[in-house]
Amino acid sequence: MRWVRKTRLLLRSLFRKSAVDAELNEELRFHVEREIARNEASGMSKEEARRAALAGFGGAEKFKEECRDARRVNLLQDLVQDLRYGLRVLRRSLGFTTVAMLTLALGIGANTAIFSVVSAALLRPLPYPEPNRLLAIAQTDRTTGTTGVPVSFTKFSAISEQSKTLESVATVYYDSPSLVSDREPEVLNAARVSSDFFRVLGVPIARGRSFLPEEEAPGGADAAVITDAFWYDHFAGDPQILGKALLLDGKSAIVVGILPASFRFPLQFPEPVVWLPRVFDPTFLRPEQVHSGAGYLNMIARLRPGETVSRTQAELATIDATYRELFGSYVDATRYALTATPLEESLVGPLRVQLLVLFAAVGFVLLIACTNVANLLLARATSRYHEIGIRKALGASRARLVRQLLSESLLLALGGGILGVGLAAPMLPALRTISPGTVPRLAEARVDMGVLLFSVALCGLTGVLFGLMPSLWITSNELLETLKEGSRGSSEGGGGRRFRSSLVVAEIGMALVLLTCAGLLIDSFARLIRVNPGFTSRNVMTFPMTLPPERYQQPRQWEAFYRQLLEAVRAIPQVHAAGVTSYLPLAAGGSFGFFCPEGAACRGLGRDPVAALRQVSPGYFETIQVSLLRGRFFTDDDTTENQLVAIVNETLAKRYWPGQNPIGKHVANSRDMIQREIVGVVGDTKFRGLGLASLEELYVPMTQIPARAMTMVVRSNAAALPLVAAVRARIAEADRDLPVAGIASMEEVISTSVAQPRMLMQFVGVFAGFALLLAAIGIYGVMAYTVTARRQEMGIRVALGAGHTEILRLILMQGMRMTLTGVVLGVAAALALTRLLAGLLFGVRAADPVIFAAAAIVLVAAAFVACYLPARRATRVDPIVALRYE
Amino acid sequence: MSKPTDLVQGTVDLLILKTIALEPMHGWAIAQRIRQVSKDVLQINQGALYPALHRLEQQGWIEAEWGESENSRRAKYYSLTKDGRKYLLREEANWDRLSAAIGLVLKKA
Repeated sequence: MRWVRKTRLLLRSLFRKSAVDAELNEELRFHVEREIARNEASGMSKEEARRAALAGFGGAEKFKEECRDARRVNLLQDLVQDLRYGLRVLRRSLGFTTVAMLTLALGIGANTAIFSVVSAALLRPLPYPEPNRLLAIAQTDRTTGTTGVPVSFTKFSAISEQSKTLESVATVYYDSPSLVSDREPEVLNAARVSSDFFRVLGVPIARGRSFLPEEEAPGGADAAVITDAFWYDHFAGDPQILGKALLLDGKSAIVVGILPASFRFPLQFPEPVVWLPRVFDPTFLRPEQVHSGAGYLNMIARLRPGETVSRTQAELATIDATYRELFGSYVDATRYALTATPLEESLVGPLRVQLLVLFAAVGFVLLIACTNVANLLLARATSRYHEIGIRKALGASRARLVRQLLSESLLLALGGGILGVGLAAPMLPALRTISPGTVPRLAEARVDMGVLLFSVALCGLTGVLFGLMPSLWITSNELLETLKEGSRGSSEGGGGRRFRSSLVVAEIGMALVLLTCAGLLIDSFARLIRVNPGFTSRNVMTFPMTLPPERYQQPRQWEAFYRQLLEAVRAIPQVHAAGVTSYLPLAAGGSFGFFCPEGAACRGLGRDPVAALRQVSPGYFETIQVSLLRGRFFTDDDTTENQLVAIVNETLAKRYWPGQNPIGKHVANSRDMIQREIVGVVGDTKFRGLGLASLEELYVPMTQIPARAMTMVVRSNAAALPLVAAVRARIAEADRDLPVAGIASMEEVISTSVAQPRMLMQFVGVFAGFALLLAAIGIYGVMAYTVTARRQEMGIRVALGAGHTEILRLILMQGMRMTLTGVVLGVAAALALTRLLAGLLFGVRAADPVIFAAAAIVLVAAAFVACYLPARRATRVDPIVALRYE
Repeated sequence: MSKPTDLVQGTVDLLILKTIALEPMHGWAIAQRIRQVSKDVLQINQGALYPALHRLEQQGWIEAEWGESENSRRAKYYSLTKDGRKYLLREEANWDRLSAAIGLVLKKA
């Protein structure tokens, strides 16, 4: 029953405050009366008795306050009072409040934005039931260590039949069929999936049904499941759509189901909108390739309840061994090992480090912002000495004063937080447009409840962080001592100055860490984009196209289409050169094949060397200006009637025929062993990434081995827009229903390939800029304050004959001492922290002395300017005026 | 601020609780009684007494009631609650143990 009594008392103390206070007064008055009576009884005079009794009471107000504290009335009531008072104080010093709030808004806003991205990518579970049971299954190349190699259909079937630890498995490959409707022809993001796909994810079909067994069997009718967004975009949410046909790649596919609006598929960017059955007859592979172990499938699986990834991994090793025995001649029999990773991890993978770097950088910005505000609060505290002193004398306890000052800080933090979240909300859409596809699930990033909670916690934390130290210090006895002497006009006590200086030192240290990181990333990025890609991107536009298989069944048709299109395009007056290639350098995608170079002992598919295979038209190399090292490029005469030819790149030539002339040697595809004569050696082009080593590349003429999906490259001196219009017109003339999506300049293609490192560099760079600015403001604040506080001293020095230079030096020395201490500490911290960046850097070491020096110089220069302004003011002190202040 | 240390605070609490264990008393009388019983050794000043009383009341160990004093004035009388009585027993036992232990150390060491 104790708590009932306690609560009743507390409520009474809170809500009947005047009654409780009156009782307290009466109680104390009674005590005094009794004391007087007792004193009189012991023989004192009336006056003496009274004085003695009151003397015992000392500061009555003070212990009345203590009695109220004992009743805990004050806690709540004070909070309201403190907040109201705090608001008044902050309103009164509008300048201070604005600067502090903006500083905090910057810190909290940036943190909120980055946190919402990190939370979407790393923290929020995948949008499927029991996401921790979902796995991605891919292969690792035993020779090169390349991970994420796609799985073949045969291997997928083997896993699906033999696995006991997996509840269900499914595969998907992505496709971009053209959609012909009454609108412009367009290219869709689509996916072909195996039968259990939606079951593995645990996603129900919202309307209609999933695929029927006959639709999943070979030769089945095409059916389509569409996303809710596609349904709204293309059919305005018409419920009659079920049963209607989409004309995909010239073939009709009946819409049978619509996915729930909440469905997301972050594994692919952009997310597929149309889902089709049957993964075993892709149009980009010949049946004999599919049935000899060609890998093209992304595999997902759901663990049985209670099973673990490691048990699946062990099981996969067994399945691999059996597969090797049964399908020894298949391309994927020996070279690749199956690996299972949690789906979540496979999605984020190496990006985790980048996101954590971003998060750490933005955290530093907030810390610096807090330090700055703490410094501002300290500076302001001096003007509040008297207020604090009087409050203390009137009986306010230290805890009470700290509470009051803290509530001011919390108000500031809250204001900054609201502003900051306001800043973050529009930052997210901007982030999505600037760097789409760089971070998985970026589209899902938003300021939601979790992010808001994070920001609120951040506000509380920052409020305490920047508010606690100053308020503890202000209310300490040391300050009261200062107050006593302080009336003589001397400056703030040594303790305070030291404290503020150490804050500035810390701030400079943190700024240096960020500047160094930014410097490293910028340098790394600059080196990356300066890498010679092996071709010229200037004035080249690229046009990806895929001929629909229904209308273009014969390879002869493909060859004819592209040959005629190229002729038409070359006829455009401003076009200098044009060509087509099956895979564009630095764009996604690629095809690899086993081949047999002349002179090597070949052991067949799956065991022979591997090269990147490209089908290119005559004119392709000339268009993007790949250098010809030996021999010749392809010509229109390289037809099937003539000698079968190939061109190899330098890397391949050096590897297999070191010191020999490759021209005239032969290579053969391991599958058919048809010999091709090498007619040319070209320079290497960067294919998978600017920062990655060149691959061995094998080019064959499109005129001998045509491809359905090609990218046309066009070099011209025309401006991009009219050229694109002209080329589009030629394509439409060739085939009115052929969509062309993803037209980009070659420069854009390169730029997209480095979007991720650029995003990281830009963000860390911006954060480092914030840090530099805040640190400069911080040091300026402290120096300006010092100059004001040391006015008299300066006056005396000037009066005694000190010149401008000496005064300037005096002040600058003080500032530079802080700066250099900060720089030294910062360098030490940066040496420890930049090592975490090592994996993200290209061509620059994490401890690069030049970058470290540059960061330090930038910081010292900024600090110098920040010190110089107040120092110059110190030299203008008029000794008479300064001394008169005394 | 001159907050009593824990030991002193605890001791004052104990003295107050023990003093009012016999009968309800007002603040002044509590101070007097402690002084008399301790033969003027323990003098609790008002600055320590009243905050302690209010704290003990808020903690639920004692309760207060306004009554008429010996000189016919309204006075606030404090008495132990049931919980307070248990608490006192516990604290007394603690104190005995503590003082016995200190005594032992002082004699033997």
